[in-house]
Amino acid sequence: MKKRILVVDDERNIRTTLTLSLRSEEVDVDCVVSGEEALERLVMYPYDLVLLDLRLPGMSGLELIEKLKELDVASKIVVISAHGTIDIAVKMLKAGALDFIEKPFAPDDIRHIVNRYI
Amino acid sequence: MNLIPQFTRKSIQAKMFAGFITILLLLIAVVAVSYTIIIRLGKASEQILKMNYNSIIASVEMLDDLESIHREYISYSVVSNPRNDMKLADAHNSFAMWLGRSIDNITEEGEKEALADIERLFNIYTNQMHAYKYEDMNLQQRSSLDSLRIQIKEKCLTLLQINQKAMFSKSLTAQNISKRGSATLLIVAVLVMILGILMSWGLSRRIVRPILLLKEATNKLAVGDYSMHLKPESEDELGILTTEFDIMATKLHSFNELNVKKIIEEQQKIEAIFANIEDGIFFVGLDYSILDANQPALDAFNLKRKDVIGRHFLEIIKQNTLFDDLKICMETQSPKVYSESNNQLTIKHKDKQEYFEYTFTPIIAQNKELLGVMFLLKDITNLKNLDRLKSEFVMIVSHELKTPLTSLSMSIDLIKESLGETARKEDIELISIAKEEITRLKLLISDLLDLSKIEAGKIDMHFAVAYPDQVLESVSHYFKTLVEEKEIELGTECSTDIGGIWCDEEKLMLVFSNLVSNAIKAIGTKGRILLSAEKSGSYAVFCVKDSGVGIPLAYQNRIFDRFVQVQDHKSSGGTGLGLTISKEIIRAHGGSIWVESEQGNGAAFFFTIPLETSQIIK
Repeated sequence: MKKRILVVDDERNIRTTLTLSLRSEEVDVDCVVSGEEALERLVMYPYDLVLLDLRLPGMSGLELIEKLKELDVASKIVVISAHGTIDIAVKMLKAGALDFIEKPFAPDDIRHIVNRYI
Repeated sequence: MNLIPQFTRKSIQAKMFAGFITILLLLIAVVAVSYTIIIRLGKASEQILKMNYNSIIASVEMLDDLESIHREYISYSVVSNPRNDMKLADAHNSFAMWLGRSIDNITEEGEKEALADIERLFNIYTNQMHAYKYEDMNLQQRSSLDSLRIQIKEKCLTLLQINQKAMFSKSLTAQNISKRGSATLLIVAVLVMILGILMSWGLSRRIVRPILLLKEATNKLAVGDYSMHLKPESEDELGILTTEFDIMATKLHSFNELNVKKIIEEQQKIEAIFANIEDGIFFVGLDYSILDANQPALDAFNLKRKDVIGRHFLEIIKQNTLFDDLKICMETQSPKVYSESNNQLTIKHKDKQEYFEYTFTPIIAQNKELLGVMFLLKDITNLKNLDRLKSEFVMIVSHELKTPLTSLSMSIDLIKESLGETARKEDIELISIAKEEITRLKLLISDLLDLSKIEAGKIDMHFAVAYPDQVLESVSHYFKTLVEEKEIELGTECSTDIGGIWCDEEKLMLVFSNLVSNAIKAIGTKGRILLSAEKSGSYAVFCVKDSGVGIPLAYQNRIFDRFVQVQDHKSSGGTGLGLTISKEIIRAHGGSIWVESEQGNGAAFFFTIPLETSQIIK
C-alpha cells in the first residue's frame, strides 16, 4: 500500500513542485490550501506524513499542530518555512513537529525528508 | 574741528594775558605813586638845603669871621705887620662874601631886615676900625666898637634863629609829606594786593571749575552713568572741551545702548536656540559641575532642572564611559573624535527605548580660555526606528522572495531530472545557467537577511573567549581543498602574546570566510594568502593579505558599502554584501575593519577584535 502524504500550502506552485518531486517515490500526494481543510482531512483520514507550511491564510501551521494535539490526532508533521529562525524551529518541535525544512529547498531535500520519516 | 587754541578775546590765553596785564598796570600805578612821593620829599629837603641850610652856614661863618676880624684887628694894632693885615683883610672879605650870599638867599620873614641891620652895622664897624687903631682908641671908642660887634653878633644869631626855625618847620612839612606818602602807598599796595588776589582767584576759578565738572562727569561716565549733561560756561578752550565731551558722552551712551541691545539680542537668540533646539545640551563647567541643561537634555535622562544645576556630572549621568570622554575633552580642549557609531547611547525608559548620538565639544573663549564643555545629545531614535523599519522591510521582502524562488528552483531541478541524459546540449547549458542564477539569488537573499538581522540587532551574538591561533587554523583548514585546487598557498602567522579574544567565533569565521573567498577570487589561480594576528593595545589585529589584483583606490573607501563590487574583478559572482556583513559583525564586536591595497599588488584587509582582558576590565 502506497504511503499517503498531505501537502498543506496556499502557494499553488509549491504544491505542484512538491507533488512532482515526489512522483518518483512510491507515495500518494494530496494537497490542501488551508489549515482548516487540512484539519478536516486529517481528522477523517490518517496520513503518513504532513508537509505543512507555517504561514497559511486563516489557521496558521502552528495553530494546526496545536489543534491536532488537542484533538489527539497523531500525525507526523514536517514544517516548511521561509522564516528560518532557531526560535521558530524550537517552537515547532516543542509543539510536536518532527522536523523543519527551510525555503528554498531542492527536490532531493524533500525526497530525503520524506524517505526519512516514512 | 580746530584743536589748536586760537588767541582770541575769549580764549583762556587771552584771559590770563589780560589778568597779568592788569596786575602789571596796577604795579605801574604803585610805582608811579611811590615815585611822586619820593620826588616831593626830595623837593622838600632840597628847599631846606637851599633856603635855610645855606643861610645858617652863612650866619655861623659870619659870626666866626666877626671874631676873626676882631682878633686880627687887635693883633694888628699891637704888632703891625703885613701878615696880620692880610689876615684881617681875608676875614673881612669872608664876612662880606657870606653876607652877600645871605642877601642873595632871602627866603624867610625878618631875614631881610636882619641882614640890612647887619650890613649897616658892619659898615659902621669897619669904618670905625679903619679910622683908628685899637691902641689909639679911648675907652669910649673901644666900648662903642665892642657894642657894634655885639650888635652884629646878635643880628647874626637872629638870622641863624630865623633860619633854624624855618628849617624846623620845613622839616615838619617834609615829615608830613613822608607820612602821607607812606599811608597812600600802603593803601594803594593793599588795594593792588586785594585786586590781584581777587583777579587771580576769579581767573583760576573760571579755569578750574569746568575742569572739576569734567572730572566729575568722567567719573560718572566711568561707572556707566550717562545721565549728566555738561553745558559750556564759556566760549574758551574749556568751553569747547566741555561741548566735545558732552558730544562724546552722548555718542558713548547711544553706542553703549546699541551694544547692550545687541548683547541682549544675541543672548536671547542663543537662549531661544538653547530652549528650542531638538538636541539635548548640557553645559559642563571646569569643575565638572553642570552649569545648564535644556529640556531635551533633561528629558533624555528623565531629570528635573532643579536637581541638575550645579551638581557633578557623574552624580547626574552615572555613566563612566561618558565621564571619561568628557574628561578627555576637557583635558585636550578638543572634541573627541568617534569612529563609526561608537558614540551612541541607549536610554531605556519605562515604555520605550531612546537612542542618542553624543558629542563633547569644548567651549573656548576668544582669548583661548577654556570655559567648559558642551555635551550634546542628538536624538536618533527616529533614525534608528527608520533603520530598523528598513531592515525589517528588507527582511520581509527577502522572506517573500523565498517562496517563488523555491518554486522556481524546484521546477528547474525537476525539468533537469525529466530531461535526463537525452537532453540537448543547449538545453542542459540553459538549465545550468538558470540554476547558477538561482543559487546566486539564494545567496543574495541569505546575505540580505543576515545583514538586516545584524542591522536590526536581531542577530544573537554569542560571545566567548577564543584564541587567534586556533581561529586561523580553522580558517586555513576550511579552505584547504579550495586553495589546493587553485594552487594558492595559504599561510598563517600568529603572535604568541595575544592571549584570548572576546568574540562570537561563528560570526568571526563568517568574516574570515568572506575575506578569504574574496582573496581567492582576487587571485584566481596561483598566488599566496597570508592570515595573521598580532596584539595592538587592547585589541587583536587580524589581517588577510593576498597577492591578487588589488583594489583600486577609488573603491577602497566604498568597498564596505552595500552592493559595491570592484567591476573589473576577474570573477565576481558575489552578492556585494559580504564585506558589509563582515563590517557589521566586526562593529558588533566593538572593533573596526579597513583595507590597505595597491592596485596590482594585492590587498590586505585588517580588522580588530577586543582582547578578553579588556572585557574583564569593563
